[in-house]
Amino acid sequence: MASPDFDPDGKLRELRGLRELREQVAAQLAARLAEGHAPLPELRELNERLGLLDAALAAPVKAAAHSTGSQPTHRARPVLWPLVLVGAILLLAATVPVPSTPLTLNVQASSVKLGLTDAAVLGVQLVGGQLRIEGFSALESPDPALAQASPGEQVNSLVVRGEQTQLRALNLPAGTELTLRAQGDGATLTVDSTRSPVVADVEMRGKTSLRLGDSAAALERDFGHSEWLKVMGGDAAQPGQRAPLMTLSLARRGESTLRIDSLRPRSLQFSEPQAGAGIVSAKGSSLDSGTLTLPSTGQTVAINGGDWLEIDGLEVQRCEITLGTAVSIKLTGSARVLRLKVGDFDRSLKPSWLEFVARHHLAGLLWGSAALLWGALAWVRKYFSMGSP
Amino acid sequence: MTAPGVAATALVLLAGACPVKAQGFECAPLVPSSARSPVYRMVAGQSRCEGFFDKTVSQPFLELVSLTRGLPPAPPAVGASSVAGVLEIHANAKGPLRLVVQPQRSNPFYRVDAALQGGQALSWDAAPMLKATGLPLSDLGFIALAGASLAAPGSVAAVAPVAFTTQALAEKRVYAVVRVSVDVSQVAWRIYSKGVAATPASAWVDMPGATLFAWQRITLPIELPGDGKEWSVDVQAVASNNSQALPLLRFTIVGAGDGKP
Repeated sequence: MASPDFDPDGKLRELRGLRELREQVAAQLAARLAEGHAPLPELRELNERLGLLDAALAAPVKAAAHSTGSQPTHRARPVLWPLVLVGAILLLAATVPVPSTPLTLNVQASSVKLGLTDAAVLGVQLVGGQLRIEGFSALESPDPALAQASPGEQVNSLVVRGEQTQLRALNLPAGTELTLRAQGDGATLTVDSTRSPVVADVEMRGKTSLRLGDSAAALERDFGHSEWLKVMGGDAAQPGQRAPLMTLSLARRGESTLRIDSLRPRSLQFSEPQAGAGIVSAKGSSLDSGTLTLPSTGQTVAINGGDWLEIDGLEVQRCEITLGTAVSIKLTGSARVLRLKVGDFDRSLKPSWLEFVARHHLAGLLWGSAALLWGALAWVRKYFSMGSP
Repeated sequence: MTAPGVAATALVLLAGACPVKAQGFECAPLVPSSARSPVYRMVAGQSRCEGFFDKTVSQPFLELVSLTRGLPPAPPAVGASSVAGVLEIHANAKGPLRLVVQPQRSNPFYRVDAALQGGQALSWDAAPMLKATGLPLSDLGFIALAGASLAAPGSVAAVAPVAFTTQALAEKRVYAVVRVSVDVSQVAWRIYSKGVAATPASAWVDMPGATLFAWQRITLPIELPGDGKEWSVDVQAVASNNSQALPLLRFTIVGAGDGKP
């Protein structure tokens, strides 16, 4: 027979023998007690033997529990769980992005498309020379010559060339996509609105030449005082109807730029049709250069020409757009969607919760508290295991 | 739908609509002042908003600060009234109006918006505003905007001239006080029938010697060609520094016959 220490079967057999012996002794003790006249020393002897057998039976069970395989499985579980928990939390934090991230964007592009969910008014823009508006359905002006020259719906384009011309206001209904494009010495604004009306207010002063429609002769006027005209795309009585696509081309005044800071776009898109021979032209990125700063992680991403940047779900605090030789955008706010695609590499720039908390030194706190919890648990376990027999 | 169903729906609708309907009046979208009190907000239990607000100004502009019948500086109601500072405000227009009282000076940024019914007098106590701003009554501007709700930004404001007595309501001459945000060298105005192309009567009137400093105001005496009609008014100012015309100040004067519902 192998040594009992290394042979579980032998140990078991021994235990079984002891248990049988104990049962016999216990039965004998019970029988002698029932008989009533057994001598006391005999009863004492049987009781003592029973006690010894009980002790012998209890010892191997304890020894077995202490010596072999069951120990790690018993002790490791409570000590490991904080580690697993922290690991799971970190894994979750590392994979789940924050819902919205603050950002500062400073880019130059040839064009930008702004998604405007709310109605907005584009403020005064001085025109240096010529203003061309296409895609309107009605014209209104207190000037009799102008009112006569625009008979109803045949006219949908207007060219104003004057000493002092200003686009006084451009009223954009809710649900408008406004594309701003800078080209050479001018800028183009394209208004694509799902609602009506789109209204452009123009004011002129001094010698002005107005051309309504494509073929009509120019109307020469000399406005000693300011004169205004208003063109409308879509019917004001039917605001739910889609307005015709309106395009405004403004010449810039020499070195001056057009400045727009009244818009609060919900989304930004930097794409423009590429010049191509085919009917279906490919879309390219309009981005030239710039930087994107994410204050929540301290990350600054350089944006190069041709990169694709998609920003949506914007809550804008400041949005300054200048139209010069290029479109320059300075924007501060927070976004729900923030993606940058360089070549085939498409990634979300929104930081994960882990990156977010790491920036705010919370990861250290998390690890610290986990270590403390772990230590406290280990101490409690050790204390109680020592205290019990 | 069953009768109880209808009743329940009506109740729900009433419960939802009542708080809004009962007020029927909203404050202007201003930024309440961060420095001075009382800040601009709704006065409890009244269709009136009043207080200081914050404002930033960038573009050069012309603005209308007062449009009254009769001379604006000394409303005759003040002397007549036993309670000092209580003004009787009248406006000859149909439907609900919004009375806007603001200083004719650029400072301080204090404003009162109150509901006014066309054809009905409104007693307005100027004392709290005069006390808060330290301005004399002659420095206050009064405008009655047609329509209960605020006009959409970018649209031309429709205004009814404010009168301080019922007799003044009949006067043909209105006084428009306008203010410029930059130095200007020329101020002119014209009035014409709305929708009708300009006629010789609607020629521009140049204000003689109108050279104004920034935030200075000027009173334009405008003779209404008739009453009960709607008139368009354009005011032009030319900036001193670059001879560039400021964007026109355009507003519509409404009469008793055509107040917006």
